[in-house]
Amino acid sequence: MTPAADRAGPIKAERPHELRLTFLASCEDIRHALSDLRTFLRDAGIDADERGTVEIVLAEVLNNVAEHAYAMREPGKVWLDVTLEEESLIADITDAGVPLPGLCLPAGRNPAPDAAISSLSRHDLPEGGFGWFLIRSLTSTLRYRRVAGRNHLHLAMDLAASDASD
Amino acid sequence: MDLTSSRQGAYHVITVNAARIDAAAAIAFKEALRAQTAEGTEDVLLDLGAVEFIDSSGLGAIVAALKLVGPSRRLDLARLTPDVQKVFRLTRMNTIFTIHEAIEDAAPRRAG
Repeated sequence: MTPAADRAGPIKAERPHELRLTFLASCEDIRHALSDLRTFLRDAGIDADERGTVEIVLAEVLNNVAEHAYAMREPGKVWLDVTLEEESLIADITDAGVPLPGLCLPAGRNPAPDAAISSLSRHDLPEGGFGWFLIRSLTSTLRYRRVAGRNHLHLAMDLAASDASD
Repeated sequence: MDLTSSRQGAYHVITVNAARIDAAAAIAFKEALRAQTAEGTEDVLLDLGAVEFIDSSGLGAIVAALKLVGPSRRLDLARLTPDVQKVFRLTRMNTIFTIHEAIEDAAPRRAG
């Protein structure tokens, strides 16, 4: 007789290549979730450079949920599901906050484009608007759907060549 | 947020003693930096050697810091860690700030 381990018991929250977290979209809970994410990526053998890139993307996504989807209310729940595949990372982020304006993803242009940035005076430099630009720069797939009162963001990142700059 | 002030040549060096300047910390960072720089007229060197991570809120707070020191003072950065460097490079904000590898490397444009 094999013990209970063989039974199809409740789904365990973490498997080697999958991380599933549910938390509140508050600054502190987001920090904890990102810390769990770093540990998960380290344990899965993802190198430091790629761990940093993944954390930047998910920090921006989760901050957007806190600041926009749940902006007018108490922090609501966020569901984060991260799956590692051969050469990519897939993340699905779900929240029950307000939809993205116009039900579509922001364009995510650089608020300080190359041509203009050096001519801007200090006073005119952008202090915001970098979030979606960073997300778009570092993901290979980005999809948004609004279903049954929830926002679903699906993204993929190429782990083999995650740094798209230079 | 815990900041430490010191001197390096003509620079007022402000060291950030925190691992993250993120959405949770950006406002406190800006306020603490305002308090440290309000009195002086020296150029400022922001030592980010202990900061392992910034997000767009943290980047925005550093840009805000550049504005709040006023138009006649420099605000240079030093000792960027790899993930912080990445955010500056991707957003091209590395072209706005003078970035030094070490505190000792920094020298004001003009002596005095």
